[in-house]
Amino acid sequence: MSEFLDKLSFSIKLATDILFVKNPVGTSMGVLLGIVLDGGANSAAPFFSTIQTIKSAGVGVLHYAAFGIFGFNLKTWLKRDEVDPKIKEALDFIDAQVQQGRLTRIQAKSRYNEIIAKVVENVRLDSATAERLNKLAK
Amino acid sequence: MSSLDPLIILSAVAVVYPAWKLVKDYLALNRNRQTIVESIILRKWVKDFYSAALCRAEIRNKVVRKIVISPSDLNHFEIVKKAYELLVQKDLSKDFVKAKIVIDMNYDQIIEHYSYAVEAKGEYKLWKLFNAGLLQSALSQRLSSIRPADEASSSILGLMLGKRMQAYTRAYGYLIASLCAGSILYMISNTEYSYMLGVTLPLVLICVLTINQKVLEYRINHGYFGNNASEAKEFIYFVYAHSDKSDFSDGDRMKKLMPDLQACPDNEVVVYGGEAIA
Repeated sequence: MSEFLDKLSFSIKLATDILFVKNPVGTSMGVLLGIVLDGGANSAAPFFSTIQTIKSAGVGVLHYAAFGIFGFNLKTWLKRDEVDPKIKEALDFIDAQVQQGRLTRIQAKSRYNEIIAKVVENVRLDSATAERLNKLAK
Repeated sequence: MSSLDPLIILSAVAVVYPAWKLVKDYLALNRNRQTIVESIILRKWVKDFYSAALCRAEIRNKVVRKIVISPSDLNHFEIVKKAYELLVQKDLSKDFVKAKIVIDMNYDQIIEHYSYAVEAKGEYKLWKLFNAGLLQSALSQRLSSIRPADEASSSILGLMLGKRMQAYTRAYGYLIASLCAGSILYMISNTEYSYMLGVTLPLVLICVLTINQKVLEYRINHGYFGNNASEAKEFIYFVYAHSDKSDFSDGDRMKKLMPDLQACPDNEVVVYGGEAIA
């Protein structure tokens, strides 16, 4: 049961994270832009109707919002960076072990924590973050 | 427009759930004030007891084990009560009361400190309303991590949550702004349907955002967070994003994980007593 809840909550989180966590500001600003654009386009509809080639009536607020969300998220999508292949390999290996039933989820978590600790140890944090980490460790 | 318009029902649901959750969590954060304050002091004691090993075995057995095993429950008055009794026995209760007064005075700062949400500015109080539930999860996570090994991973988690809380607050802000824009446009326009959607869409997205927060809280409280590869990657991305870009190590912003293995020469020559064997 708990494993089921674990997987369910993870799927919900993954689905909603895609919109909000990678770039929450971008998505919500996209919605705002969409609504503002829609309002602008509708109030300027008499002007657009003089131009025969643009048919703005078919474009709804959903289209504008989708356009806004896409536009604001495009930059993050293009700039996404990959993890070091060595680390990726290690993570995938643990994942495979869990799939094969050789590791429990709790054991896997501690293995992941070890990897994360290793990364933290080996990456030089920028001064502001390191300072905060030290301050908070007290 | 009929009264059973699905959009209206959707909007109603999307209003009620986030509002209920925000208010409930915010009230809970303030209601648990006493427990949180006492847990913080207790944690300090317990940490001291951990370092001073000998005669504290009693407290360590009775209190620490309870805290470590049931960490997520901040409403756990019993632990505090028991600890207090033990402290009275050991004549430490005066200090406990003194510490309580100090912490009680700086409750807001303490919450920020212990939940790592120090990025938010003091006068900018909205973030506490929007993230009350997450704050509690972060707090209980932090208060329950007493062993140094736990603390190291929980501090990175805390920093990540601090960033997330900041992002959530801004996302709520923009969504509420778009909700306002949508409803103003809806009121001043004559075409109804499209603007109704303009009101519903932000509401639904606010609801989705709240669900995201709630699920995250659930995963943290039950210790699920970080037990699969993609969440581990999230941690690593976070660490990368906050690493020093201008470093002089091996490139890749990484120091060496381990020294490179020296390649074995193909024809190794082992010499036994002056005789060479290929």
